[in-house]
Amino acid sequence: METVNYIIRISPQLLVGVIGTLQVYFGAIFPALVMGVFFAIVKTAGPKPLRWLLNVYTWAWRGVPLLLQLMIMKYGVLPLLGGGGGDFPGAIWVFALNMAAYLTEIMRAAIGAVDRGQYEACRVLGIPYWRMMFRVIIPQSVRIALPPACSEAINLLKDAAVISVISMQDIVRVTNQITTRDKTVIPYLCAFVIYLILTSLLVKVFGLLEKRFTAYDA
Amino acid sequence: MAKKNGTIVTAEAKKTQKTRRRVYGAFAVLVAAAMLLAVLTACGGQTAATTTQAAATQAAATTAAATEAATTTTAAPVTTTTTAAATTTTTEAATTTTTEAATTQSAATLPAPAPAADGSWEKIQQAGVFVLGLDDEFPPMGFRDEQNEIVGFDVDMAKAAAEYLGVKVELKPVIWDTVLMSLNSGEIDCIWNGFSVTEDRKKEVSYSKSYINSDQIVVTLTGSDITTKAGLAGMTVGTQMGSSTLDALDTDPATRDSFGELREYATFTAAMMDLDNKRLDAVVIDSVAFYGDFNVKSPEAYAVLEENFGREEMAIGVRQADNTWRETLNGALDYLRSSGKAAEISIKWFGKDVVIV
Repeated sequence: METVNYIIRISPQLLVGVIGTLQVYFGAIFPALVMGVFFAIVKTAGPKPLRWLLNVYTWAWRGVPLLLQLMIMKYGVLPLLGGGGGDFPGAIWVFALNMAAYLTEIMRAAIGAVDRGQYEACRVLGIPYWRMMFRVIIPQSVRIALPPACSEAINLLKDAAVISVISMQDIVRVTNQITTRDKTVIPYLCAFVIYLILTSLLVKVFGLLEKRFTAYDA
Repeated sequence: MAKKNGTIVTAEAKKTQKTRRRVYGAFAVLVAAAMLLAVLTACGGQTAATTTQAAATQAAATTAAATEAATTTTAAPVTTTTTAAATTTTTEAATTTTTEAATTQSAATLPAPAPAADGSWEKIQQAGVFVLGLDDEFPPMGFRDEQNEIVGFDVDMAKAAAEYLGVKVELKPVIWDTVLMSLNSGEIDCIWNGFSVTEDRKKEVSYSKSYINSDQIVVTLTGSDITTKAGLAGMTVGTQMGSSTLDALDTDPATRDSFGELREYATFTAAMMDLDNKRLDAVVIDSVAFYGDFNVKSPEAYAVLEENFGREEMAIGVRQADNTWRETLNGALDYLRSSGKAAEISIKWFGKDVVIV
């Protein structure tokens, strides 16, 4: 009972952490999705120099730890752009660009995995290239990309803990703060449950999407 | 048959059309969300604001540097009036901005014995606020209470000092590992959070007066057989990674090397938890952290050895160029002592007056 009371007492503070994590998450995931899809199309069909540029981008962003990217943003890029402020938007762009790099590769593979017959059918029907891409190929590749994208989405949720570098309060940081104050491991157990709830929700959402996108599969 | 097939096809086509619409809907929402975020980032991100602010800071920094140069030149003629030649040579080095800066400096009315006026305090006074960098995971100096507010001994001290100085204090949690970078980049105006005075740090920051002592003490569980430093031989000892406690241990290599094992933890809390779990025989820890935090939480649980690994002092760290700001803080510390506020705050957190100003 005492434990329950304690958890109730610290729950507002834990909520601050959850909100922090979700802020980062939703701030990053939408631009990441858009960039990922767009970059993947460019990478499969765009002009050579752009494709080369995107290769460099995914190479660099996937090859460097997220933590380091955030540090570079905070201590390298932001001061160049003008001073200490604006840490949060900067961090959001780091997360978005990082996730977009992975999504680009996932989507590129998915586009490549769409049956050749689909392209040929479109050509036979005289459908213009971009129309074909957006109406035929992408919808089918999204279906293929969903399971790996789901993993990536879960990863982003957990990676959001890195935000503590800019002193923002996320779930992990808040948990640490409570633990150092109260000398108990109960907050860790709370964080454990919170993360599982959040990731379960994510998996559920992706499950629904998958169902929808595979509705016409044989 | 054909008719039946036909109806099926149309139904399917309708369905596909629906999904298509849904897919486009989803895309539209995503694009809209992304654009919204971009706009928010541009507006809310204070990018424009910070650029001007940064420019201002930079300008202020250059004038501050120039003023410092100027004061050294103006200080010279006070003692010897015939050193005009020497003065001019110095002014030659400093450009025309020096004279400009000198005039602004004389216009500002400073407290009489200000050493090397640099405008650092005036800048804070004008802003009406100073930014205090701290680690919000360091009880009792600075940490989050259950309302998620930052509280602590140093926080109370800083608030009392700010009240005296007639400015506000903005508490800014920073990552402790890079706290010096935060200070020198101008993100914060001072480090005031159990900041130990060490020779290494003196190369990068300027310290105020020391206001509290911190001994590097050895803590065991109550009833432990260990009663002296010699008793630590062969024992498993824990401490905090990268802390000044580690430096303190280096001053007594003989004892340190006699330990069975020296384990470094991310925090003192983690080390103390392992002591509670009997996975450590002793913890070497800051007396400030111990008496202000662990000992308050469970006073019966621990025993402290009489011998320790030396004493260090804690002070407020400011940028090396910020002389007037440092002197102002020293004045505030003196006031906290003379007004009895320091003792009051100390008793609140440590149960006794441990302030040494």
